[in-house]
Amino acid sequence: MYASTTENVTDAVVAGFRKRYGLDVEYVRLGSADLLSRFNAEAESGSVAADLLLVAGNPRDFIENGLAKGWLQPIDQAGLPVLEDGTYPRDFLRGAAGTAAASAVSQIKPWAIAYNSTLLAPEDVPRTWKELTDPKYKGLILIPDVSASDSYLSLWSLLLDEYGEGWFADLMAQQPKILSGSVPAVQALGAGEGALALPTLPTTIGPIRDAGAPVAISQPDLTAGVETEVVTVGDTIASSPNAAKLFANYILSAEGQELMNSEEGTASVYDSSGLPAGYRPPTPEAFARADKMIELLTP
Amino acid sequence: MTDVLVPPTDAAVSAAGGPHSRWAAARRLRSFRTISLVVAIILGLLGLVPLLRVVLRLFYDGGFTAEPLRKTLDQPDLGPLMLNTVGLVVVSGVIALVVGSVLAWLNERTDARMGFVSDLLPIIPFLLPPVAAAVGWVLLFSPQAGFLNAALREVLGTSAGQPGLPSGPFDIFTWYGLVLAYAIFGVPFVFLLVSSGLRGIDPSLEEQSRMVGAGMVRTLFRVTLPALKPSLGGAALLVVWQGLALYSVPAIIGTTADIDVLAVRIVRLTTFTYPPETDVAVGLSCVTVAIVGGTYLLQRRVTRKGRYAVIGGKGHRVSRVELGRWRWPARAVVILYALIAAILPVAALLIVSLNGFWTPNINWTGLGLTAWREAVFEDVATRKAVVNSLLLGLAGATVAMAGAAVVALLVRRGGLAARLADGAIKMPAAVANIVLAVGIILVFGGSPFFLGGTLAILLIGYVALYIPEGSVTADSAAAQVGGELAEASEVSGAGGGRTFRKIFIPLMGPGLIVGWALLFVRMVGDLTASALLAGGSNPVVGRRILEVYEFGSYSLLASLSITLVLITSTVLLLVTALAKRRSRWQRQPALPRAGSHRNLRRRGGRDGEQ
Repeated sequence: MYASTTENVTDAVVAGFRKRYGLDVEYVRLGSADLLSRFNAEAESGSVAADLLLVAGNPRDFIENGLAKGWLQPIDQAGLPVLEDGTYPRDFLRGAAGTAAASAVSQIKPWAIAYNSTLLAPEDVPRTWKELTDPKYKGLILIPDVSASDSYLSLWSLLLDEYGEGWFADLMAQQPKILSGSVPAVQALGAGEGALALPTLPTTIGPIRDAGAPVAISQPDLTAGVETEVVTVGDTIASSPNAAKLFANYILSAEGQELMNSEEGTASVYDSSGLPAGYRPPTPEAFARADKMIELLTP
Repeated sequence: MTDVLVPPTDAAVSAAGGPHSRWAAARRLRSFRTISLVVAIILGLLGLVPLLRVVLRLFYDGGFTAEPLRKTLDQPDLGPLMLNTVGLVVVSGVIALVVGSVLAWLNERTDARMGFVSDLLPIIPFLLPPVAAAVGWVLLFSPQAGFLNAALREVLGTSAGQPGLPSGPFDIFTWYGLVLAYAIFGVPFVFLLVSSGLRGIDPSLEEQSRMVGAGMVRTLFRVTLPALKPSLGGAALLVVWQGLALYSVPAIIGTTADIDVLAVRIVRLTTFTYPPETDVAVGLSCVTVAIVGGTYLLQRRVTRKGRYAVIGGKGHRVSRVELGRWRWPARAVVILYALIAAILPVAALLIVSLNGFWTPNINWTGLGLTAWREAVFEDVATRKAVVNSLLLGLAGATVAMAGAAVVALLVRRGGLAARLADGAIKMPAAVANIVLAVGIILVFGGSPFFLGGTLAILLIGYVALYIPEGSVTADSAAAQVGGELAEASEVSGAGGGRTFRKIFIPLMGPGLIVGWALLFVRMVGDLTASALLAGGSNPVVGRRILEVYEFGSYSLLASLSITLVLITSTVLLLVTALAKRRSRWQRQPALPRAGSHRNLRRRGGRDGEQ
């Protein structure tokens, strides 16, 4: 399996599966973009090493291309019991052109604001994205470079729809510091290079907060998120397609979902109480706006 | 010179004897050239075929299309992007050449040398994976929370008036910060090549120059620098390549400084979203190819002119310039450089790895090994990754360097095929690693090789990616060996293979060992190719480092990187020690047979292989 999920979570799900079925799963952890390039190049060369993909970001075009070439198969045609018996909520199936349900969401991480609790008093912590343009945050904001990963687009695009371009101009007038990725942004936040780091996933905060860094999360109600999808590889090119399907089924079962979403800030498809009330799933339009968002968020 | 023709061994006697054996020698020479040519072509194809595979996929879409070129030229801010990149590489390159050469000269030729400490310190930035080094400088020189800035503000009691938080006095996220970071990355190349160059030059030339009344400066410009031309040319080429390819440093420092650099743009184009814009990435890589090609031609002009000193048959003995009252100030400069470039960043990483997170307010009593346990000691995958990477580094560096040496000598003799193969071997230097890695999967991943996910595909990837650096080092080393020795060997009847083994390998030794070390370090610490080529059951260190940078924390990154530095520096120390021994062949004959150096001297600088 190629997975873009964190090691802790992936290990937990793999261990759960081993315990239940006695089968082992070997996986390679990759960033979503690397994962897709690698799978593509391998499929083109006719030698694919993965029988299942767990991928976040924007895999729509990838899935469409893979289905057309027969490298992938639509998940609702893979014969997974959780889908066939209606256990898995169909709202979380994600389509591609011509296919209603090409992949299934297995993990949802809503975007949040991380703050440095020694630099900001509790009453100064922003509760919504809109407040970020308040002059009191000038020079205090850290933003991971939007051009580093397409996963940030879901949030920025939502905010563009909600608050318009003027809000972005105000945000950039706050002189935010742009960092090369989410880990550098969060590490800098812990050190006090800034007082707010956004957008952030609570899973990125975990390691340094547990080590004692003064960082915490403020979860705005209206937000977008990162969804990890299970993508099934075509029967003809997978080396053990049945075992892969069994594992896909396990990930999407209630037990698998619990393990998959055991970390703070992740929500299972069976328990929407973990999601902020105003959560909006990523849209294809958001990803089509990449150039616009990069332009708006460049100093 | 008749004494050349009376070497005492049978082979040489018969070589001087009859036309038959001369013919045999010529045949041996030719067969060695043929084998060398085959090696060169294979090595050239190793990078070229995957590259062509990617390019072909882009430009041939049912018919040929110029779309990728058009899209490349349509890139926003193409002008500033080029200007930033070239400016950065040139300015930092010049700084690196000066600093690296001065450090090498102080270490090799003066009494400011401080044993192995001054051998190793200037190289440490090179041992750190670039991502860790960049993070190290960020930890030190970030305007608000940088360790050094916070400490200086404490001492000086000042804080500059940025909005928000106290900051300064230094800021790594600026032009000067980025230029210095690039320069520090260039210095090890210059230091290593110039050091090995200096070891190869007969210091008696410099002594004679000083004895006839030329001052130190004049000697430097009239004797030492001209003799160092091949080393400096090779170093400049490597510095330019390295500067163009450097990704983590401009990504981490340049992004925040709002300085756009070609390498970052290329990687972002391939990793931002699906489908990757490989066409534009390759288009932009063409620009890199042009710059690299230009510097390559320039360097070849320098090395081909042949008006620099070469290692003749004479042995030499190193004598050091006594700096007198300048000895300690010179040492202070070396130490200061080492502090900024190596010791402080590593110390900052160490502190963060022990503290668990980055903060200028360290609780010294609360330091612990949690991150080390998590990332290094208790992580089975990491241990496996270390073993895999070491094996790949040892095998890859040896294969690549041996190949590079053969090719360097082939090119020296000229010939179109050799030059073409040489160009093909150096080509991957100009292309983004990630593009080449995709090509390697396309070519070797499936039929007929089926190497996907194996250690073999990683080995192929590493050799193809890093052989350009080995090749440049080998060229410099070969250029330093005078043609006279090889001619003598061949006149005496030795075949090409034998001459290669017994003349070139020993004399190019220090240079080749340096090249080997460069490649070893590169391969063990490789991040980009490993991300695409390493399999689930074959983890390598670079992948682990990339993982903790992308998904983990600085403390995990720090503990892994320091582990890597400890391993690579141990290997490198052994190797430099070996290089030193080699270079003293006049005292400990490293030439093939005992006593040969005595004969060398008696024959007034001509060497016939015995």
